[in-house]
Amino acid sequence: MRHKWANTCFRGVETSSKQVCTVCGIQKDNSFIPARYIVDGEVKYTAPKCTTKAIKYIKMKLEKLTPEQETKLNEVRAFWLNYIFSCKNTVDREAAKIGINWLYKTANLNEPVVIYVDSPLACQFAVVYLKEYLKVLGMNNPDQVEAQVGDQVWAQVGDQVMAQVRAQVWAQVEAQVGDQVWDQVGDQVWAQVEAQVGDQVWAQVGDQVRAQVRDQVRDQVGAQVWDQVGDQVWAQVEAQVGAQVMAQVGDQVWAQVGDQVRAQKIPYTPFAGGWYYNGTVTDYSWVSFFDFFTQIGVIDHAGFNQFKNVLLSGIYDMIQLQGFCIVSSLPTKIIRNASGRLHNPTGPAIEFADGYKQYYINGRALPAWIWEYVEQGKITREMFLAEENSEIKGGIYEVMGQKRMMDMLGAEEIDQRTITHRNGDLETVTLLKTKDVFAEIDNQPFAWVKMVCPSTGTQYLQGVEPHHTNALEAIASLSPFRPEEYSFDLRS
Amino acid sequence: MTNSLRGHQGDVQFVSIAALPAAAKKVTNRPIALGEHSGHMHVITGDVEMFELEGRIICVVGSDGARLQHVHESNFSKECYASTKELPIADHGSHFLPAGNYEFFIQNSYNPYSKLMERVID
Repeated sequence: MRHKWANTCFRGVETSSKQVCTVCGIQKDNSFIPARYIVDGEVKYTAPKCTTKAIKYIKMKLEKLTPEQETKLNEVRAFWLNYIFSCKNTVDREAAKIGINWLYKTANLNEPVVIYVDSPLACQFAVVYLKEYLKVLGMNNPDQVEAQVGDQVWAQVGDQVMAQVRAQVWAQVEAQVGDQVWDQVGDQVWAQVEAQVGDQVWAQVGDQVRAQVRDQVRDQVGAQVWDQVGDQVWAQVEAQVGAQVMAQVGDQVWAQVGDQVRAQKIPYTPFAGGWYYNGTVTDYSWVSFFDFFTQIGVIDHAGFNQFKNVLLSGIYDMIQLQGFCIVSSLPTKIIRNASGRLHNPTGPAIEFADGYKQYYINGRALPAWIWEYVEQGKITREMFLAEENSEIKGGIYEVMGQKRMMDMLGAEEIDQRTITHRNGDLETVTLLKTKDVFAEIDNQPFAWVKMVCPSTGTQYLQGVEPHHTNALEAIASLSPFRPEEYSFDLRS
Repeated sequence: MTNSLRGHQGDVQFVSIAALPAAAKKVTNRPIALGEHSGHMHVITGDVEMFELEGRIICVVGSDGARLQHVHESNFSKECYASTKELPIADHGSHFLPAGNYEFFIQNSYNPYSKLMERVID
């Protein structure tokens, strides 16, 4: 092969007056710039055939993203956020099985039997059913069952993914990317995905959902959850384990399993990975970062690509045991507030296909009874006043809404003003406060300002700080306008 | 703000401003406010470009004007952004905005438990 001389090197970088081979990077004056190739995910500094001399290679780092790469950066971030928050993805069992087999193989473990369920709570039921199932089938010695079902292996899997995937792609990108680009992609992809899928989903949808499952299992779930989730899991485990492991198990045996599980206390089995690297939703942030560098051609790491496919098979969470892996599909509904926190005053903030759901207000997990009681009109003034938990009171405040809260607690009119708007409209605003003060809000009353919608005529309330004594000042405090400016040319 | 045009549509308020801040970054036009439960949204359509600056929403309206509309998402598509044609009203009537720069705000409500002003989301 002949050299192809030009004033632009093989990476398209201007090289001033020096003639450079666009194939191998050799300079005509016999000094060299790097030729870098990626083979099987590893960076190789090898010379193409047009170079016959020994080459001293130096690394050329990507120091600035092109406009196209910046567009790609936004696309990658949006893709990962949308993958979970669209709530349109469910487990692709074939892809998940391939990915889980690969994870186990990476940790030198045998391929597990994979059991697919619809929620993280269902994962917990599945473990119990599975162990009981194996007991009923003849392995009544608890030690044998443990040996058969096996210890949790997430640490092994996580460690190997860390060593064989994460550490390698980290090193590859670090070697090829300048600090500025690393920081830019880190800030705009990793940090932002972590802020929403990490802090919110990991700490909330991930960690908090896990914590809620753990607490509910420890408190022992009620009959309703048994009916809703437990029995479904029973059927799922029966179908899947029966088909994959031990076919021809009679209904009678399975009924016995069901009875025994219902009769016992359910222990909590930790989910895979206290941190990263097990192929669950907790991995979205760092994977999105390296996914960007994969998509712009900086790396092409076979292990990383495989790991990414594990996440993109629709897995939400897993319990990884020796011999068995229990997989929860992604949620079917996630509702968040403007800050990205799980939040829904009118119902569950996160819901799974089997009906398992959790309730949140501004990222705080709260008991479902608040929503049920509010819907049924069961929250009374006495109940509210007797409640000692301020988080629950705050939840009631949000779920009931301003109007019902005011009606329940009773309020008196403090001030009323008429605003003459610049378009000639007259608007009456009223400041209201409870007579009582409340310890959990610093011994202050609740305060509201009442206004009227000019389009619908509906009266509505907004909470205001309790120090107000003037209705106009109170309503203006909810806007960027000073009280004397609170007059509009256009209203609807 | 004394001589500026000021408007109020449901939970959204706006005011005309003298100039677009230099650091404002252009973004794709999108709903100014989106109801979490009602499916209603406040959108600005027509000859308009949207900008953001540290959470502020600023729109530059061109000579053909723009319209602030309150619509249900089922009555809206991306194509609607291009026209000032009035769409079926959800709750609040639309406002035609002449050429100029406008900043939009979402009304707050005080939460005594968090002790924070929180944006109203219907």
